[in-house]
Amino acid sequence: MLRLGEIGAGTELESISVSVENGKMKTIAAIMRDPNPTHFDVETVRILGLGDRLLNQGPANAGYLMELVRRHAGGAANVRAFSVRYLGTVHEGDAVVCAGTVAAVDAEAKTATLELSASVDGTPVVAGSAVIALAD
Amino acid sequence: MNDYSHLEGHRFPGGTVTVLPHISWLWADAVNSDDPAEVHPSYAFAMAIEGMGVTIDELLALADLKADEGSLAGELELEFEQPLRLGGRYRVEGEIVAMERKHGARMGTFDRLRFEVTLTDVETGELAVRTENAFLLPRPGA
Repeated sequence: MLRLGEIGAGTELESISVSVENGKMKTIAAIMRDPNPTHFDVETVRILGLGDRLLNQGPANAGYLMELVRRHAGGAANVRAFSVRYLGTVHEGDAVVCAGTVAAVDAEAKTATLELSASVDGTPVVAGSAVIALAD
Repeated sequence: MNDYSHLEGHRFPGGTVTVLPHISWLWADAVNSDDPAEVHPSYAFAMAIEGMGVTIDELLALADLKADEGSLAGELELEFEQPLRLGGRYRVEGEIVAMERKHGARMGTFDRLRFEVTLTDVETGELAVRTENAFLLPRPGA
């Protein structure tokens, strides 16, 4: 959990790595009622030229980065804002490494802005920022 | 190729969504939460999709696209006025805010469909979450 007075611009967050599992992709697809066959039909993925393994859902990839934020914020109640762009596809079996850095600290508002990046084999797949409330 | 800018301002039917503990837990587990008993902030996106009154399929159909035609998630923004609560019931309202024709190296010609959805706590009447999302819709040959 990040605390005011203990961090500054440039402080690196402890990264997390998430292995993309088929069972969890099914859970996400079911909850979102996502009809996109790239999440369950490899042939569609091939036809679209997107590889030869199932694609993970974008919101799942964003969710991994949000989890990085949530952990460093000390819980969901301290997450104020989250904004990401999807830069690339993530496939079943990939290991998604989520990393972050403190970009700025607002001591008066007791908030920190975080720069975020998720990557697979060093290639960025999601990037963005978040604002969290800091504990004293 | 059709111009879909007329969709800007299209309001979704909306609805209400309740944070069911078992669904919240499943979502949190699926995004690797180390505390799946807490409503994961990213679950707000799924609530928006569930409650806005049109499925992803129906949203794509508004722009004459089918689910197997290569649409991709483009962007996700979430602003939290308050955390989501287990068992909480939320009113969901939203609309398409932009439909822009773009060209990119990865997708060629595509439409960027942006839509905004708000989640308001039915019990308190207070806004909980605002989310804005973009889907990228391929337009080969356009």
